[in-house]
Amino acid sequence: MRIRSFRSILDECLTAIQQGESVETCLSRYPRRAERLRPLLLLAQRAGRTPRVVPRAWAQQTAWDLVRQRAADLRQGRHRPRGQITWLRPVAIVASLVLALLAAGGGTVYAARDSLPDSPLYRVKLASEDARLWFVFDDASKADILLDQSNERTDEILALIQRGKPVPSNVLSALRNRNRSAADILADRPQEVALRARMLQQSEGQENLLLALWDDISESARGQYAEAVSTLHNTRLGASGAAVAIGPDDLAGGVLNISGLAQPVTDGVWRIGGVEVRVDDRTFGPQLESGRTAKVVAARGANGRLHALNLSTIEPGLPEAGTVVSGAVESVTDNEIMVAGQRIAITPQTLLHLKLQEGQRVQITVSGGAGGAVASTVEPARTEAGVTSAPTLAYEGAIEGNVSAQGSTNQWVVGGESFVITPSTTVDAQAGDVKAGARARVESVSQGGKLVAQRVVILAADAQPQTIHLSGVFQGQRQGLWLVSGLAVEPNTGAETPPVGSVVAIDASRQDKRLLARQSTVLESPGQDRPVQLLGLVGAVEGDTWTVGFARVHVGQTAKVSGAPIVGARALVWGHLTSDGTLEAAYVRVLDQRSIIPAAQQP
Amino acid sequence: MWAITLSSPLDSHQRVGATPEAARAEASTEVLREWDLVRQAQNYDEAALQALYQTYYPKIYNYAFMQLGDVQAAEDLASDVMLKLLESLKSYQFKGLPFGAWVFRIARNRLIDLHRRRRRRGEVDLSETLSSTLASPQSLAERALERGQLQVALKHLTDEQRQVIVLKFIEGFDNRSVGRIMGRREGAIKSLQHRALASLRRVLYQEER
Repeated sequence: MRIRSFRSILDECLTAIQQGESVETCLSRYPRRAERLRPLLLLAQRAGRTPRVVPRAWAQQTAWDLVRQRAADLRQGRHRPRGQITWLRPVAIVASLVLALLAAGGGTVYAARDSLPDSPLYRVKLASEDARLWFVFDDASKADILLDQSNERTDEILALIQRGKPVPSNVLSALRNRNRSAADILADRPQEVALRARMLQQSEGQENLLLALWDDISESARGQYAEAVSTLHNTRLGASGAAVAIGPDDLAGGVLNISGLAQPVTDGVWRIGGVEVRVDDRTFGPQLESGRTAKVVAARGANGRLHALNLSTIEPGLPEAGTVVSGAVESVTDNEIMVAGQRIAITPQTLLHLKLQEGQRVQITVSGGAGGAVASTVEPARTEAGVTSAPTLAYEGAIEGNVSAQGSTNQWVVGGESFVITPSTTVDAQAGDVKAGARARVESVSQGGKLVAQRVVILAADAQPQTIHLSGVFQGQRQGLWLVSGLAVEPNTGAETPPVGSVVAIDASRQDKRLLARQSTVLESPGQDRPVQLLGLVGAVEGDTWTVGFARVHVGQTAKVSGAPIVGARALVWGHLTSDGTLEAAYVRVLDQRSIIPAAQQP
Repeated sequence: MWAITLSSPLDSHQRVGATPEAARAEASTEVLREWDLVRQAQNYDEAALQALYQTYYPKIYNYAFMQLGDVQAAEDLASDVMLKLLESLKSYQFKGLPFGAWVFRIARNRLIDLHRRRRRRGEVDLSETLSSTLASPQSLAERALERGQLQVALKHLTDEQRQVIVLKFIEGFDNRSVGRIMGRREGAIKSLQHRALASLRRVLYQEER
């Protein structure tokens, strides 16, 4: 008789049990092996009865959307592009170098020295930089030069932004290559403490700069952008000894800027302002606490997953209200700009989206507290009276549907209107989570028939879902309806038709798909003196003088005020500067019905 | 969202009261029925793709979660596998094994790639965090309660032992399919399952003592 091995008997029993036989039936066939078999068979059975982990419905749906989209592409014969033709790369490098050497005698290299990435001479500039490294044999010096060259790329990007030009891929790939080469050299040289510290600081600054520039990156450079941001992020982490890195795929959907209350969801995952974000504590340390207000720039993967790249918590008593001021530049120097009678500092970190000149209308995002107002960004003013091709619209209403969806959605419905959320949209959810039913203010621009959100502010106020407030440019009348920044509104009875190009504020209600105005106010008329616009936190109310953001505002008898003056609430002011430098309010809208500073953080 | 439901041959081991012969016959019928569906999906028929997706996304998610212990990483892997499945579907040929064996082989390869990528990036393997101090005691307790400590115990097994437990006893594949998924011979799977069950028993016995 053939003696069967134990593993063979075990396998037979396991297969039989898998097909419906009981453990006891199988054991009865092998009574002499039963004692050894029983625990293993019972264990296999126990493993088979382990409750399955069920995926989250939204994640399954999101992945299905990707699969369905891809299937549609494949049905139409659209295949993914194959890998890059890598052998062309060395050829291109050699060609560039030959070009650089040939050009050296003719002064082309000299001419290329100040060229920008959109210039034909830029290749020569990069090639001559490469050639310079041939003659450097000391690794530390080479890393130092590479960091200088990487910094030069930052200056080039800033110069392009100031000229209002998109950032092309060549400067991003050059920045990434130089950074990575420096990081590779310094990875083996721990003794180069100063150089490593410089690389860490520089990479962090460059990463933050790029994260603020999504809108300025040309469409064809998005792949290089993702590569550059992930390289900078990983360089920074590598230099600081942190463990978790990101890849370009993690940025396939761009970035999301959001601030709001932080609540833990599970290990390494937090809900910030109602949106789920992976926050790796090996990268950011234990700085995030439940209930604290956090500001996050997160990479958005193709499946909508958010991964924090940059995280800061807001100090108690210093709410991140994001004071925004729009007005004409009264004076400008290298380190200061004056708008609305206020001096605002310009630092090397200020992102200038235009070349500053007196008289220009600009919008400045201001940060800073006791140390004075500092401009973080300066860009051309958005809401301009007159007939513009892309008029801005501010729209307040209740959020409808599941917009947070863990950060995966890019279409939000607010007060019945659909808004596209892009990687450059900032979401301020300090006053409440992003969720269905929350009241939100969406500042948007009409592009290609769609309303593209630039900034979303969740308002503390809980209002009736059908209550709408909007402000925008009056574009004319059609069949008795006002066209305001692309939206049709039925005017309120007796309302005087404003001149085309005026900026109007309207309180309205929504009935089915109709917007019915209850009250309308003209904020700005074409041809008149342009008002100053200020959005900030109400810091103090002393009689008819309010402090909004960093400015003192006189709210006199003639000013139209919507909402109660509440310290700690956000307010939008339209006004004019008087000869004594005071901002005289013409219209004030208090956005919140209560302070947005958390009680524990009240000064 | 879902239009067609597909009963999987892989669930046959959980049926109570079926005779082994009946279960075998039913399993082969299911394999052939699924092959029919796969042929429709190879022409990118949306309903067929949806049915396959509905069947395999939760299975791959469960498989990935058992290996990684991380919700988001498991969701990412499941999503990635579903896209890879779609891209490679045209090249799939029926060779008598359940379609699931092919899908899980993709998942296994993706998992190996993921571990390799993480090692290259210098990341800590997320599966290691499961029993580490990074997880809160509360979440560890919840996991242990939900899955009867099995998942935690699996972390103490070798990768191959863990694979064989999950694929054979949780996902219900036969030896041939497990061998195909893991790139091993059928005979090797028999030995491996014996060692895996013995190791698992040792770990669980120690933990429960």
